[in-house]
Amino acid sequence: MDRKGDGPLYPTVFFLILNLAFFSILFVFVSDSSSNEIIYEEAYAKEIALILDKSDNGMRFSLDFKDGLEVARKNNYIGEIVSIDEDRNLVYVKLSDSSGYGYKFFSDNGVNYGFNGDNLIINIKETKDG
Amino acid sequence: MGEKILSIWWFAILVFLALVVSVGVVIFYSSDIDVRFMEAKIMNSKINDCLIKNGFITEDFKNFDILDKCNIDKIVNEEGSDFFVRIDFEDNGGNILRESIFLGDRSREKECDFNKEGIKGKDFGKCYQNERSFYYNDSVGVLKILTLSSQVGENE
Repeated sequence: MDRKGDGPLYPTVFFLILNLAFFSILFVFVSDSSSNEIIYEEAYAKEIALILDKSDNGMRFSLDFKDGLEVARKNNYIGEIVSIDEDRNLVYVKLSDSSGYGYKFFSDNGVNYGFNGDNLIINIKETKDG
Repeated sequence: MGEKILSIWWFAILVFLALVVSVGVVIFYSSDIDVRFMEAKIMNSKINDCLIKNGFITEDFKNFDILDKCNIDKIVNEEGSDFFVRIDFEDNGGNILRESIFLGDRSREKECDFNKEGIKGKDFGKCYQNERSFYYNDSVGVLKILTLSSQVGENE
């Protein structure tokens, strides 16, 4: 009866549950940090601004916005996700009610944009007015 | 007794692991995505491409309106601008072909010198400098373009 492994099972189960809880919390923390809207807003705003800076009249771009839309959906945000202010030369990306990120572009071209499914379609025009 | 010692060590390892992962994640995700050098490079290449076509400098380079001809918005040249541009036109012997063109805040030019010397500053912009030869009137000249971006985004 005194053989090894015949002791009470509870400490082992308790130890396992504690470990499981610890690694679950760690996983949730890392996963939550990586889907933080602030990171996506900054990345998308800068990416769009650089596209506008580099592009010429007549060009058309399709930007995969799937992750951004998913974050907005998760935050129950239903407002305007991307806005491009041609007067202020500012790209603004918003994926939740409480946050938002703006980045300026220096190009003088005009721009048309809109979502097609998960993609943001950007059309570059010659002038801002036309 | 042995199990107790093991559980203390195990607890210490978990705490250490949690600390390392948390600090790593916080540092990684709180760092800025810095695209200023890329911006300076794009602006430099945009100006370059609109001034030199097929190796020849544009004919009206002596009365050239950069903002209008190179599709660059006036925000670049506004007071307190986050950008700076300097364009020099020289002939083969280093003589100036026309006066330099400046856009943006001229006081920021020093930041490019500091960058070159390795002097770090939190708010210093990122610079890109490029030189390219061109033909004009059967001679060869050199176009020197220095661009800087010090833009930081706007958080809500």
